[in-house]
Amino acid sequence: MKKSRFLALVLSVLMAASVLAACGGSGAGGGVASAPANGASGAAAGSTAPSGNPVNIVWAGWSGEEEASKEIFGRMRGAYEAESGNSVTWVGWTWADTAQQLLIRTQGSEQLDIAQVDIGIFNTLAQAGVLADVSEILGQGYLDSTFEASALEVGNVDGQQLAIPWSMASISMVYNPEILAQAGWDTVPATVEEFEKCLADIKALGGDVIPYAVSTKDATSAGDFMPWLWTFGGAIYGEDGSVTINSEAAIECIKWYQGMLEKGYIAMDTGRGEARQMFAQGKVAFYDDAVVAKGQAVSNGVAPQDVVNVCSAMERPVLKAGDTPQSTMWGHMLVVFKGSEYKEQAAELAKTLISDEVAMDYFTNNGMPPVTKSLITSDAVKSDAYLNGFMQSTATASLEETARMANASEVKTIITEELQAALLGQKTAEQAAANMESRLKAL
Amino acid sequence: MFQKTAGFRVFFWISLVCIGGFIFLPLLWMVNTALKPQAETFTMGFFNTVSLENIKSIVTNGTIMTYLKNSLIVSFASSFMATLVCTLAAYSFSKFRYTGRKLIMGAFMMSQAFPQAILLLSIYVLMQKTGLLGSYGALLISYVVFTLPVGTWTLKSYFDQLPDALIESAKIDGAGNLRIMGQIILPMAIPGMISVAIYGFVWSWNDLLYSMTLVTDSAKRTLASGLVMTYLGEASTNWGAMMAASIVSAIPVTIIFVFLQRYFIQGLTAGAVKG
Amino acid sequence: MKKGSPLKSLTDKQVGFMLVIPGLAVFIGIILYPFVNSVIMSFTNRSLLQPNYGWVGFENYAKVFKDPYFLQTLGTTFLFVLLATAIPFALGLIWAIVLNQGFKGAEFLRGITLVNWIIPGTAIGFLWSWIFNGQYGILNGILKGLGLLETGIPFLGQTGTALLCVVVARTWQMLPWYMAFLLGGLQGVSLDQIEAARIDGAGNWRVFTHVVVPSMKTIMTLVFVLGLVGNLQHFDLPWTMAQGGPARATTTLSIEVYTTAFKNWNMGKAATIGTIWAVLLACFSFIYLRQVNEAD
Repeated sequence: MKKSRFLALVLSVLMAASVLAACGGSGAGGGVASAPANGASGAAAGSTAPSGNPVNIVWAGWSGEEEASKEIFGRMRGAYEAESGNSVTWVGWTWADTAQQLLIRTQGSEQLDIAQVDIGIFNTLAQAGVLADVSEILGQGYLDSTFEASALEVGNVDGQQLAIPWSMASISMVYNPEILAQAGWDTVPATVEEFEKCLADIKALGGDVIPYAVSTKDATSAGDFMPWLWTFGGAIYGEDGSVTINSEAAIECIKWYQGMLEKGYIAMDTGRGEARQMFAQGKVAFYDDAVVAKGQAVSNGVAPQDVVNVCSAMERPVLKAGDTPQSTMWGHMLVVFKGSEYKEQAAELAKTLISDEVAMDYFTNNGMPPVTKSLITSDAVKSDAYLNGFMQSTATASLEETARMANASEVKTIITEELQAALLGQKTAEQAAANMESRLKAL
Repeated sequence: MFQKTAGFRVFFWISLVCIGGFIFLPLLWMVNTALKPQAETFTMGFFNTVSLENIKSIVTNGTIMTYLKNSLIVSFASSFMATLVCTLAAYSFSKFRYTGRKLIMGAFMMSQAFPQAILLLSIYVLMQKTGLLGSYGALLISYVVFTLPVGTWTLKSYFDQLPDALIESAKIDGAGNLRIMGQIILPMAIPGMISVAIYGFVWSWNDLLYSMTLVTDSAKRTLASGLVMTYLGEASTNWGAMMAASIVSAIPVTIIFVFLQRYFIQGLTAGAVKG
Repeated sequence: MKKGSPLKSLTDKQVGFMLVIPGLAVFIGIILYPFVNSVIMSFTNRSLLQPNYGWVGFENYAKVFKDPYFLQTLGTTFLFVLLATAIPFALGLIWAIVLNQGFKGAEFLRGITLVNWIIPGTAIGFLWSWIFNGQYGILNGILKGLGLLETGIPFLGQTGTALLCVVVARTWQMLPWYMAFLLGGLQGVSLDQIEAARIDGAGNWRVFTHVVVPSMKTIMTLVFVLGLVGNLQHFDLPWTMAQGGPARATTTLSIEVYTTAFKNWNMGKAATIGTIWAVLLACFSFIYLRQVNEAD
């Protein structure tokens, strides 16, 4: 009993101490929460006299958390801090959690000034109405002189410029030229028929190689499915916005997926993460990815200029020769939040990030294509073999059909679930397409 | 308890090997992966080359250590709060009679069944309104949800076993309610309280749902969500580091457990066994 | 004479009630209020995307009941809760019996067993999804190494096996917890009764079914019910291992509520699912409580 009493005492002291620590912590949290109130006058003063006191701005996103881009993001913050005298706090999550975490954070009392977003996350935030119009901060003149109209267009919703373009390209097919060469393919397949032959040849090589690591797992499978659906001539929505997924083309496309799974060309339980992982190990011949694929290869020890040898982009095969190859628009943008007290400083950070020097560093090491007029015409960018593969696809890329929808993730979840059901043999392709349609209509 | 017949021996050895294997092989694999050089993470080698590369990277990695610290603070604090609240309530339910007692007891018990995911929706709004969103406070208060019903119930059955005569005789000696509680009842309930504290601790320690939603700042993030945010990234599935992080983070709590497991088992069941 | 502390001047009834106040405050603040609020929310179209919302009556309920997958989600939840309780319960009992034999090292094994329970659930999720992975999974590696398989089986990628994988991981995580409870229970079984049964000529099996189980009935029921409730609330493993997929095979109610609210932003519908869940559970709990009371 004595011993237990002593233990209990020690434990209670520990616990009480942690309560105090926690309360101290939340007290500090309260301090942060009240800071913007003081900062408001500071920011107002700052707008008249830009050389105000140094402030701390919060930058959120996901790439600063990832192994492949962590260091570069550190350098980016350093560049801005040296230039402005302000400090930057990075808050990061995984890509999959970013939309949710940003939304939660805008509803709470925590500071949030600028964030890295992709097209899907941008859409969510724009729908929630938490983004500031950057043309009011930076001036339309600056935007027009810095970016092409097409790049600005992606971040423009109902006439409001809610995002600053940062990197634009497409999600394209990526392949490993070494594996293709082993299978006897010196050129990439251009039609679906050739593509299947190529997959068969790769499969015949034996070993653990997955010929085509198309996403079959999380929400990314809907993203991969869409351009194939277009390739087969289908679409989720018609011109008038009605649901048109229950079409011959969609059924054809689902059947094609089923066939590939049956022949072992694609695999279940494969998401973007797994595909990248295995591609980097030389166990995947094709998969769908954005230019960020380069970063993964570089962080695995491949020299930036040698990346094309193991990781090249190609146009998506078409149904019959002469068709337009399909791909989805991909891009990273920078957004400034309406609730931010330091919009000017946040916009300044964005300017630093797209400045020639910082953007070229990002491009060289991670393959992120710059978007400013001054860089897209530069030789270093134009002659980059890796990027050229992507740029071919980008020329014909379209926005995902859900890119401007409030319930985009719900739509994608439905597509994913039904596609999986068809792949797992629970439903026929016809049933899956019909269920996609009925569920989408019920939304 | 059981005679060591041939049949029992067979049962004993099969169980020992199968269940033991099931429990310990994955654990061993975890340690094995953590101790591999990063380049060999995906090889099937079993303790071929031992390298502290992963462990070192975790211990020197400020963020993981911050998550660990946050987890410890939040779990200790919420477990302390929960134990305190549960003990008082359980003592009251067990040794006092007043109107509304049955109703409150029933409500506590039923609340176990309320979906936590759904409570989260409103707790989120509540924390947002009170400005606690994103603080330790938000987590440690919400975690009491997990422990309150079970903890109160466990301790109530614990107090129920203590004979009322103890209290009566103390009263005759002129002891007030406060003294009876502090000097007689609570010391006897310590094993029960320890087990409730551990129960609350592990719940808070493991929680992913609440910590992922109520805290968005990496400086306040707990281990469970921290591990997800760090290692479930699209471009980095660093299993070696992940396993090392899991092991490193389990060590401090394991040490506490090794010392307390006896009281835990004893306390957890004492009420129910004789009840 | 001192008047005495305020506590002293109170009647027992008042003291008793005062002791409940902290608990009651917590209960009202973070359980009752959120719950009532969620029920109210289920009649609105509240979304995380829009600050404004309005009443929609029973529209959310109609949507949920019309959802062809709602029954499936209920079924998955039921199956998961049942398997993830019964399997670790049975294994935990056997393990407790083994460890109760008091052989050399039993105490050590008991200590190590508890480690599983302390490892954060997310890490357990990672570990087991790696074990079960179809391409570079450890289980497939072993099966291939033994020559039993040609190509890997994507255990987590098949509707038939995905839920089972999660159950296995959950078993691994919770076995120590059941073991701890049941070991305590075993230690409380009266040896005199066993002795008496032996004298009557009872073998091991008879001792187990006629003495051990009956005297552990209370704790077994308690641990089983706690296990059921815990699994019903469980979120981490199905989420980290499969995100509710493939084709909804691991979508339990708590996953569904979370996805609806925090991935699809539809708080109103999520609250509706939660309310239906609470009502169903309340019915079961009511039946259970009545039986317990009758037993008393």
